[in-house]
Amino acid sequence: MFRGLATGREEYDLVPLYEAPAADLDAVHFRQEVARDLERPPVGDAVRRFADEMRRVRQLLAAGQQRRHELQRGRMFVDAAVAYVESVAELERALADAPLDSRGVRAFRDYVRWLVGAPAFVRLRAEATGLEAEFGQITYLVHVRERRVVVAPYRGEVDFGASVEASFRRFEGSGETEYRFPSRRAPDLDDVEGGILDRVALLFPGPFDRMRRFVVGVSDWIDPAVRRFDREAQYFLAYFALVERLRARGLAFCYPEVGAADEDESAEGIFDLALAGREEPAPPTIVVNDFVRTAPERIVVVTGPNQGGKTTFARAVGQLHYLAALGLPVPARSARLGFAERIFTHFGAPEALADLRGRLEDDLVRMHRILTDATRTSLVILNESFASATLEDALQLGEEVVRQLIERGVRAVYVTFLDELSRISPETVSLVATVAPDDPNVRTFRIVRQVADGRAYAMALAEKHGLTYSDLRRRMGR
Amino acid sequence: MKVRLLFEDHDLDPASPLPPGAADLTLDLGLEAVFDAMAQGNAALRAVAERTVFRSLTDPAAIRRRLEALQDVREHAGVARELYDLALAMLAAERRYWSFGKSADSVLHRAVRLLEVYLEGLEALRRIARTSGEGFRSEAFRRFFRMVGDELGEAYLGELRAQRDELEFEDGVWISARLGAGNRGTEHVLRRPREVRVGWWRRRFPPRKTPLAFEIGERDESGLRSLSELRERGIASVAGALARSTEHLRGFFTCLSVDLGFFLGCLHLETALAAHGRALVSPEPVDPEARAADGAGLYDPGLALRSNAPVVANDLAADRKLLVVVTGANQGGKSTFLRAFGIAQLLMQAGMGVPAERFRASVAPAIATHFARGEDATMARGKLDDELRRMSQLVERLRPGALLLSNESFSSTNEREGSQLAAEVFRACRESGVRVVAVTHLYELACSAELRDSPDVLYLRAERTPDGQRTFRIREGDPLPTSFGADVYAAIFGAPPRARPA
Repeated sequence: MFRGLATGREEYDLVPLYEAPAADLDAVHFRQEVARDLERPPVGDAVRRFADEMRRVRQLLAAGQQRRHELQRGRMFVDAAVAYVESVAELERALADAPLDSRGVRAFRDYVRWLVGAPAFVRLRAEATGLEAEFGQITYLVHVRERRVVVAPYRGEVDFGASVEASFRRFEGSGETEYRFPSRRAPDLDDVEGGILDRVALLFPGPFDRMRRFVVGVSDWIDPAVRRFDREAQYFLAYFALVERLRARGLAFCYPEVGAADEDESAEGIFDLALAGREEPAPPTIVVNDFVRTAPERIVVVTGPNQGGKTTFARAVGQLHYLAALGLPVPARSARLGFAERIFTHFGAPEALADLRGRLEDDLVRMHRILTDATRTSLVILNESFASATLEDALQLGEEVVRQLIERGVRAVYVTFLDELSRISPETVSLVATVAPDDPNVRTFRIVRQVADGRAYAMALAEKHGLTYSDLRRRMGR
Repeated sequence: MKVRLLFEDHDLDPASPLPPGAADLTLDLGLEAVFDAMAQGNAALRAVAERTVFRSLTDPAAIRRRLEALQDVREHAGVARELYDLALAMLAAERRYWSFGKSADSVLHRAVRLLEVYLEGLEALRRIARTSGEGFRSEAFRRFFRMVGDELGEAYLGELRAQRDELEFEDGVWISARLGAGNRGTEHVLRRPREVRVGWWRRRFPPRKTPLAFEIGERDESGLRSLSELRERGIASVAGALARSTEHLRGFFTCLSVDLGFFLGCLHLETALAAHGRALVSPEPVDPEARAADGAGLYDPGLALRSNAPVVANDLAADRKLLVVVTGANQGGKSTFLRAFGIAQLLMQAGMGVPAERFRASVAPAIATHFARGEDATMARGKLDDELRRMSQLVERLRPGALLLSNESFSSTNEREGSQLAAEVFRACRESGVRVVAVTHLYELACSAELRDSPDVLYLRAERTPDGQRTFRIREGDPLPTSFGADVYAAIFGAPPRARPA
């Protein structure tokens, strides 16, 4: 999912940022504040515009260095400088007027305010924009006859196309074809363009001389703090882009209330963000679920038929805590969560005939590591652990793992086909993935809090087919 | 420079989509035969005929204007044809000059060639206007010929010719440009050299030796390519402008062919009907408020064109009526009657002659048909569902004064349900001032007390002689409780169906 977010933003190297959740509650709140500030349209839009401009600056600098013609190279350097100073100044203006509540963005606002007033920036800005303006005023005339080209000053000669249009205006109809003659132009000036530019420089020597002096006079002018802000803002903006896309599809996000690890947890309307964000082959229909865990419950045991949404639910719970630790809005309508300092996952090896022993061993090695490292502030997601074991073994191992987790006070979501695990102690709570009762192939993907008895699907299907008592009364009443 | 023979204020786009409801009208009223006769196998004429007929005029004055223009075309068919042929010849030029590519140079080259052809066309048009324009009396044609005389003066045509010559660029091209990003030339615009060449431009060609000039070597292929690219960029502005100008000219000739094509199509229809011994009459359009619908000898031209047998004509006296209910025997001519009226109304509002001996009717802001159909072709919808959907679509277009022709609407369900649905729709129509002519066998609907007592409801019935023979005449008459299906059965089976058991 994070790779997906980083796609198209490779230059920012975002994945390492997403792999670094906040270390403590204060850091979570710090990021949440920044996220809320950046999510406000005036701030977010300003930062997005700034990012686009900075990208252009980088492109101009990189491309400019490769140009052959000195006057083209120099001008691209000027263009980059203009884009840079204008974008920083524009960002300063936008942040000055914006309502900001976060410690992070306010500190940056103060920094940028200082920066644009600093003498080095002021001088850079004056020189670069001055040059740009001078170049902008240059218009020249070229005469081409056979193989000879002559450059001359432009003296208001009449636009030929306009005079043609004027002659035929009386025939004008409603339709207008826009003729476009796209000419593909290589990055470098060709010989004719270069030859003309050399002669334009002879006609207008002033700005070209100043440009040469400017290029040698200044060097790396992008401020390191500005560069870092540009990158870290993308951490939020890339994620917001996904949030916006899914909100448009009716899915809700919220900023979770994050408290200490052992507080009660409750989240409404959660969903698997990785699944929801998928666009190919078609955006999936998303069923949202609730997640509630109140003391003394520590272990949430999810049972139910295959393909019933159990794994998706477990992933959603894990994402919920991880994204909360990143300080980002989470895929839920509302959420109160305990901070998870570390999140462990144990996804069992799928059933396979070959090498049963090897797989079980592998499962257990990983499980051992988790049970060693996990603490009261951790969250453990177990998904069909020991699926490769025999039923007897799996029950025994599973119960043991659950007991150990309870003893250590670790929070866990345990997806399993073993109903018994849900009845171990008051610390375990049972959730069941429901299916339609008359057709076990129809999954509702609803995960509900109920005793794991493998039945009791009747209600869901009756509703689906409009066959509840009230439905039947209404439909037959015509 | 607008042709405007058909519409006073706009041109007809022969490629525009047909308005909503056109397909239903064509199918329900059997207009294919009418369009076939107008087009005489010519797809362009057919496109024009369809679009003109379905873009009904709603102003009686505009209808009279077109009827007068049509009269001019009848009286000067030769001149009309000459103008039409001229327009077609101009449009054919386009196919003669292929476009060799999308470059500015080739677009410009082609535009200059087309311009030459069009200039000749304009001169020919001027000649026709001068020699033959006098005899036309309609306001539309008089305006057209006056415009040709005013706008296409010798001075103007001379100016166009001079411009065409200049576009050969014998002295090279002058291009202005600005310095864009990266100091690259941008916003290239082709310029006309100053009329009075002063200073630097005094000499026809710049001096041989100046630091401001350079020359590309004869063998320098990439340099020559760059040079022609520069020329392209300069020419682009004028190529687009000239190509657009030739499009305007082509548009003018297109309009001419479209407008005259419609009138020639009208003559075709008249000729075709005459071959079957039928004639069209000039209708009398009146304001919608009058709610007039009065005619004699209305016949279905589609039927007339298909058969040589005598076609029954009917009269209609439905002035001030909001609902006309037509009942009576199956196969008794009800649908034919409905079609004849619908076509007359539609052709009147196209400014054409109508299939009747006399026709005077209020113009309708919209004309819609709702005819019972066979199974929906897609089978995706049920029949009633399809009927309701069509009704819902056409209701979108109905406004006070509009005309709805209903033929056995809601017959795809049982009589009680059908009557209720129809009663709701027709009641809403009447109360909104929408006029309805409904052929129906829904006795319950037809005989509702509410309708029977209404002065704005007219009952017509397909005539049947006492011995069961149909005359195909529709006369005033109250609905009868049976539809004579047994008669049709008997005609086909050779014996009447047995009586139903009690």
